[in-house]
Amino acid sequence: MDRQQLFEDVVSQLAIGVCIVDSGYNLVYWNNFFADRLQMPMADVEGKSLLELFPDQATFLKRKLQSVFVLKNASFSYWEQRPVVFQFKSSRPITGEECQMYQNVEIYPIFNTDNAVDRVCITVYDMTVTASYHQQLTRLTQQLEAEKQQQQVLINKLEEAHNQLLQSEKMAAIGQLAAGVAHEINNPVGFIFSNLQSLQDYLSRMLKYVDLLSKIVDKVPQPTLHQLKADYVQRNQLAMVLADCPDLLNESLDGAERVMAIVKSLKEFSHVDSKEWSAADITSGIESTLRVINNELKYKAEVVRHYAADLPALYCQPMQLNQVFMNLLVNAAQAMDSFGRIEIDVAFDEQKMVVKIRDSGKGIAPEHMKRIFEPFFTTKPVGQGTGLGLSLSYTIIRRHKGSINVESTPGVGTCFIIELPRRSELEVQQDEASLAAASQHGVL
Amino acid sequence: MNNHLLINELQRDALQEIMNISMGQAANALAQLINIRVILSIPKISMTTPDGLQSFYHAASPHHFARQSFLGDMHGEVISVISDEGCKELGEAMSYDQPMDANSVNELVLELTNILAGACLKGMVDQLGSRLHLAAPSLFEPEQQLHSSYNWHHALLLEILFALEHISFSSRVVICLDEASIAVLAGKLNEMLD
Ligand SMILES: Nc1ncnc2c1ncn2[C@@H]1O[C@H](COP(=O)(O)OP(=O)(O)OP(=O)(O)O)[C@@H](O)[C@H]1O
Ligand SMILES: [Mg+2]
Repeated sequence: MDRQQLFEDVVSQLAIGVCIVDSGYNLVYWNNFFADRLQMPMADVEGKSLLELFPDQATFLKRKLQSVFVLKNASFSYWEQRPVVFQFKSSRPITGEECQMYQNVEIYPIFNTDNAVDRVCITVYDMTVTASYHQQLTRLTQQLEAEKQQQQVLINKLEEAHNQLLQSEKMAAIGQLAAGVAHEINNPVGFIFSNLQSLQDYLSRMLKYVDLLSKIVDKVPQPTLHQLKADYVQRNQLAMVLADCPDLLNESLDGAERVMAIVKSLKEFSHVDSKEWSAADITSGIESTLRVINNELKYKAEVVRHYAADLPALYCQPMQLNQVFMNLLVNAAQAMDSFGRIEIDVAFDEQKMVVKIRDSGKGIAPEHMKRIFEPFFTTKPVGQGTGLGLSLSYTIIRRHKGSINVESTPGVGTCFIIELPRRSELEVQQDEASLAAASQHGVL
Repeated sequence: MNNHLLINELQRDALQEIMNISMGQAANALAQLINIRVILSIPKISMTTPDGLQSFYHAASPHHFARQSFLGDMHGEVISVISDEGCKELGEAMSYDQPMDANSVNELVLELTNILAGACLKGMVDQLGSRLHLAAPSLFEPEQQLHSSYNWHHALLLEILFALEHISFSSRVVICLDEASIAVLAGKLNEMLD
């Protein structure tokens, strides 16, 4: 075998694509790599225009070939920017996900004896393995990046939960302080109030007595006595004193009553953590909650109550339900763009009690409706809302085997509807017992 | 900095002359390939240190960086700094598929680097009677270069600026020769001067 034949043989079998074109871009030669993968034997394509054989890449090939002929320097193309120049089948037709071969292409000049370039050689390297490895790596990096971001979100949530905990600890401390103060004030205010009541009684009797005496004196026909009485009354301004006394006492009683009401709310509020079950009047719970958050409500909305008459007591966790009412009422107040209206309905039938809290606030966007009960879902600015209010409320209502639902029209208002089944003490005890058993067995 | 550290005044003048002539040829070749009139600066010859090279990368507006090494009796690297501005228009003129995404801009930067490097080196190499082979260009990020790890102290820089008629675009190409290659170059220049 002569040298020429030997080289031809080697080149035809090379594991890289080799293709030679002349200055008119017509095919002079291509090796088996091209012929096999394109199913176009050398004999069929010799002399044909490369640009016509690969019309999709004609502009690209022409530009590259031209630059090689003009500059007499090699030109390159990479799989990263141009994955496929020649439509070869994937080098991994069975096991690969890629359906085409990724290629690096190098085009270089072939100098003739006059040191001119009348042909160029195109070599094609199969980069499929590298490319798919590289792509896997990129995917992995992206995945890692996404996971990292998710973790960051979680960390933020944890931080918020931590803050919320701190906040509730603070509230608990304030609650205890309030309870202590309330307890101390409760007794003295109690006897001030009952003494005032007695005084009111005694005073009205004394006033009647004074009146009687005065009438008796008037009946006695002794002008000096009359004069004496008139002078005394005049000097001591007794007319005014006698008229003022009942008013003073009434005002004092009123004040003492208000102090007692505040003390009572404070005492109730300081027990918000209490999970005790008892039969309680729902409306008095709502009222004491309203007193606690009065400051937040009074500039935001007018509160209108529709309480059904003869409401029965409900066996429940009263303090926990107060927590629910508080969350809903505060949310309602926070939804007000201008001074609005909050309506509280309490009704009942044989099976259940229904509490509705309706506001004329800005409403909830439809895309948020599904999410508002999610923990940490909030549309309020950082620092203002933790997004725990409704999720906590949901948990409490579920614990009462009840349901909490929402209807809202953006721009019109929102209505939260709570339904609580009227369970007997026995039923509640059974439900609680099975709950405890389930959580011990790790079901919950 | 001493410009004449490794080549003397005479050699430097000769090199400048060679570069000026090759720029004329380069402009011709580029006009054929880019379809737009290319405006070339007079090549600036200087010596640099690793620190000096680093300052070359500072650019105010977004730029692309690519490099390409060459081998032969002299070896070194060509570094190109290409403005992002104007790339799309240039791509259109060079019949790249429109619209161009980040990938095709990268392809354009690599192709431009190859063409500019080839055009600039060709004339010089022909006149010096030597042979050079350009390896494949690649993109790089200058910030990620640790220049403290360079193992050279001085390099010869041949810097050429390119602009285009009617398109706001700029690019700089530097041909960098290391110390050993500067000696070879000096020898070749001497042969020519004799
Ligand atoms: N009455 C309402 N009107 C309009 N939007 C409401 C109302 N109630 C709840 N929302 C929406 O539901 C979200 C979640 O409420 P939730 O009470 O769980 O958290 P929050 O009020 O944002 O924060 P937190 O109660 O912990 O201070 C609110 O951010 C708000 O977007
Ligand atoms: Mg809330």
